[in-house]
Formats: sequence, C-alpha cells, structure tokens
Amino acid sequence: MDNQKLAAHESLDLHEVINFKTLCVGKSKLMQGLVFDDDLRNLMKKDVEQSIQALGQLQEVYKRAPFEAPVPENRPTPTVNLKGVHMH
Amino acid sequence: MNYALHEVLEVHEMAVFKTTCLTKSKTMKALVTDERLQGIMQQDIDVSSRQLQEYASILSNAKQQ
Amino acid sequence: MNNDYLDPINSIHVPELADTTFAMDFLLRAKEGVRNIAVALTESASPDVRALLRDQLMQGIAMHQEITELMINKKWFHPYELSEQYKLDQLSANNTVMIGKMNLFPVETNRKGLFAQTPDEHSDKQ
Repeated sequence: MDNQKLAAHESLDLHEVINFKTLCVGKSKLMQGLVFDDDLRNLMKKDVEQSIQALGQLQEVYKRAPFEAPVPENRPTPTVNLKGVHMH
Repeated sequence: MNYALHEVLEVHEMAVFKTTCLTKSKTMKALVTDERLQGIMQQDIDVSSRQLQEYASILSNAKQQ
Repeated sequence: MNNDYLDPINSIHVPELADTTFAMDFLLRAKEGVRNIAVALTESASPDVRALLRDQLMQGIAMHQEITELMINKKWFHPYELSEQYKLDQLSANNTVMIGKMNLFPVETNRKGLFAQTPDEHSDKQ
C-alpha cells in the first residue's frame, strides 16, 4: 500500500498543500527579520522548524504522484531575463 | 481544446453536487405549498437541468482525450 | 545550493526563485480573496452590500485570471503539464527549506530603541 501511486485528486491536493507550506516557511523565516517582539520571533522560529519537517513528509508522499518526474538541480529554464542588465 | 486534470475533477465534483441539488429540488417542490417558492424551485430545476447537461458535455469531451 | 547565505554561488537562481515564490503567493491570495467574497456574498441580504460584493467578486476573478495567465506565460505555472509542475513544486520546496535552515538573523531583531517615544510616558516608568 505504501508504494502505491496516489489518486489524481490526492496528488493535486498535495500540490496545493506543498506550495502553501513552502510559502509558509518562506514567510515565517523572512518575517523574523522584521518582527519586534522576541516571543513572536521565537514562535516564528518554531513554526519554521515544524513546517520544514512537515514539508519533508509531504514531499516524500508527493513522490508517489502519477505525474512524478526526476527533479533537476535547478529550474529547467531560466525565466528571468538578466541580459541587458548593466553591472556597475 | 484539452482540459487540465484539476478542471475535470472540479467539474466532476460540481456535477455530483448539482445532481443531488436537482433531485432535492424536484422532491421538495412537490411538498411545498407556497406558490412563489414553488416557482423559484421550478426555475432552479430548469436551470440546474441545463447546467448539468453542460457539465456532462464537458465531462464526455474530457473522456475522449 | 549550500547553507552559506554569503556565498555568491547561491545567488545564481535567486531572481527566478523569488519571483515564482511571490507570484505563487499572489495567486493563492487572489484565490482566497475570491472565495472569501463569494462566502460573504451568500451571507448578505442588503442589495447595496450585495452589489458591492458582486463587483469586487468580478474584480477578484479578473485579477486571478491575469495572474494565472502571467504565470503560465512566464513558465512559472504548468496546469496542463503536470510533470513540469511537479518539478517546480519540489524545487521551490527544496530551496525554501534550505533558506529556512540558514542562520539569516544571527543577532536579535528588536529595534524598538530606534523609534521615538513620548517623553512623558517614558519618564513615568522610571
């Protein structure tokens, strides 16, 4: 049962949850640099640690999606055109 | 035009929901005495039937892919 | 990517990662907004409130469409090629986890002292 492929709707829900959790980690991490209250900052730290663990578990399950594919080292195609940017 | 998988699943869920809505409206209409309420329910039945057919045609298009 | 946030090698794909992340966040907010307004609309009865919510709902849907189209054009979002989307999902998750593990704010961020306070309130507490 553990290695069985996921159903289509489960996989798409996982896609949504994983992207949501990814954004949560990023936000809680970067907000730590903006926050004033130390207790709030510690809570955000805790959230980042817990979310990283949760995200790892979700990614593991997501590997069983029917549309799973080998993940490249970096983004397949650069999407931001940096040519024409002048370096000073 | 190909549909994306999530769209098909979404339409499928809406079709299932609409079907139960239509069944309910049809049964309830027979039990309702107020004429205006009955009229609204009949309107809902007509609209729902048409929408269900639209869902069905989308779903059968999706199956042929 | 390694764990050193000062290592320039880590900045190579940052513009893409940053923009895809912000766009995804934007898309999720647009979706959430549409749903919230739709829920509010089914709770309201006053015609003026309903008209207002209806307009905002249409605006929200139009904004959602614009974001979706932009993300598809920029190849940040692949609703039709799920394997491509899978790769992006796993990549951004991996990269964000890496950022999450970096020690970005080694010293405390409490900057309360930088802000002006009312003199009276301040002296009261002494």
